[in-house]
Amino acid sequence: MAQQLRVIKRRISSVKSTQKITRAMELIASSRIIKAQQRVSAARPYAEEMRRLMGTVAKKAGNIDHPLLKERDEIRRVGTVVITADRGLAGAYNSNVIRLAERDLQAHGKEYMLFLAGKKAVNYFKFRDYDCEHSWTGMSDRPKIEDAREVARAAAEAFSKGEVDEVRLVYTRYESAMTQRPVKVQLLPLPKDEFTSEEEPSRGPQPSYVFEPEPEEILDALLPRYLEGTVLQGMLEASASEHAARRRAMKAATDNAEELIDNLTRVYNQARQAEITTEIMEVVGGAEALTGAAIQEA
Amino acid sequence: MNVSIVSPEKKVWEGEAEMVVARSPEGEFAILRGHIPFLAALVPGLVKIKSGSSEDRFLVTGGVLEASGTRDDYHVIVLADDAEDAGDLSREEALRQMAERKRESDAEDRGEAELRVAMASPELRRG
Repeated sequence: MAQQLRVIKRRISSVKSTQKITRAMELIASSRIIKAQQRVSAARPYAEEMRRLMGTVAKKAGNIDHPLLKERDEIRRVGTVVITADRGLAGAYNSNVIRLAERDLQAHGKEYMLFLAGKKAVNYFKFRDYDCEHSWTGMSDRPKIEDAREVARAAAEAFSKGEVDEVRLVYTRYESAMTQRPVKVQLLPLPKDEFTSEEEPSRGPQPSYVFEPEPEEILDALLPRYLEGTVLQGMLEASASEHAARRRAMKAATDNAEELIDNLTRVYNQARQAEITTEIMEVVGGAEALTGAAIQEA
Repeated sequence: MNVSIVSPEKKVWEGEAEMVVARSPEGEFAILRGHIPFLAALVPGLVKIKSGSSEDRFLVTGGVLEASGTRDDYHVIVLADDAEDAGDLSREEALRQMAERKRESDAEDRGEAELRVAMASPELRRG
């Protein structure tokens, strides 16, 4: 009896210490979401201005023609950039992205080339004997432009060399604090319509630009930067999503621990009560036996 | 005219100014309000933003500059690969310092990673 009590007590205290950890992680994640969100919005002006500028150049330079924009007639090999976290304990965050990426690989059935950013993706695909030539870790916590550049350059190089005919980016889009969704977007060739069609004429006829150097060279400078910006945006959103997912997972774990503690406490009290009752019964029984014996003697 | 310097990670500076000086592959140039719409690639160097007697100086490692608009609504946007306040440093000095800081922060990153591994390994051994 007493031993059962001890066992329950030990379980309660172990659940409590787990709860302390999950609560701490939840709080850390909440504070990081805010910072990660701020980074997402801080990076937006660059992306927007870049898109607008590309539109301007595309229009003024007439028919734009650039290796990074050219659609290939035949797609033999597809590159996929997958952005995940380095750490787990974030609910289904990592597995959702990975699942989307892997399904995509299997669906098109073409040859693949993986660009993996995040330890979780690297471990997953390595374990399943995928060819993971390009992989990076240590970026997901606080993605920097240098990180995005490295990934974007690797992808652009493979594309320019003709090693792949298309590159996709799979990451988790941060839609709001409540919803984050894994998405797949085309990275290369750069989707032309994103900056050629849209808007204008806004403020009347715009006089033609002076380019320094030539428009083609400016385009040469713009396109890789646009690509880097897109990858950075993806990484930042993925990072914000990661923290949001972790916060949710840890909140669920904390709540769960709370419930477990409640239940265990109830069981513990019951057992304790049972023990006390038994003891009283024993005492009463013993006393009764004694008085019974005394009466008989008298 | 309205001037902003934007890096991929954040807006570095925004404000009103009278003149912007920057450097393209073809040399240094200056933009005043009402300049003909202009688009330039930037080489590593200083972007100077002048307003009255004051001057803000930024070091950019590359990027593009766009100037356009009407006389009343004119703007200059610098899309920099990386930009930071250069204070009173000369171009060479600022570039040198930036390279140095880069090296340091890389070394720091590595140091931190090693520290984490060192901290984690006893835990791992314990299983």
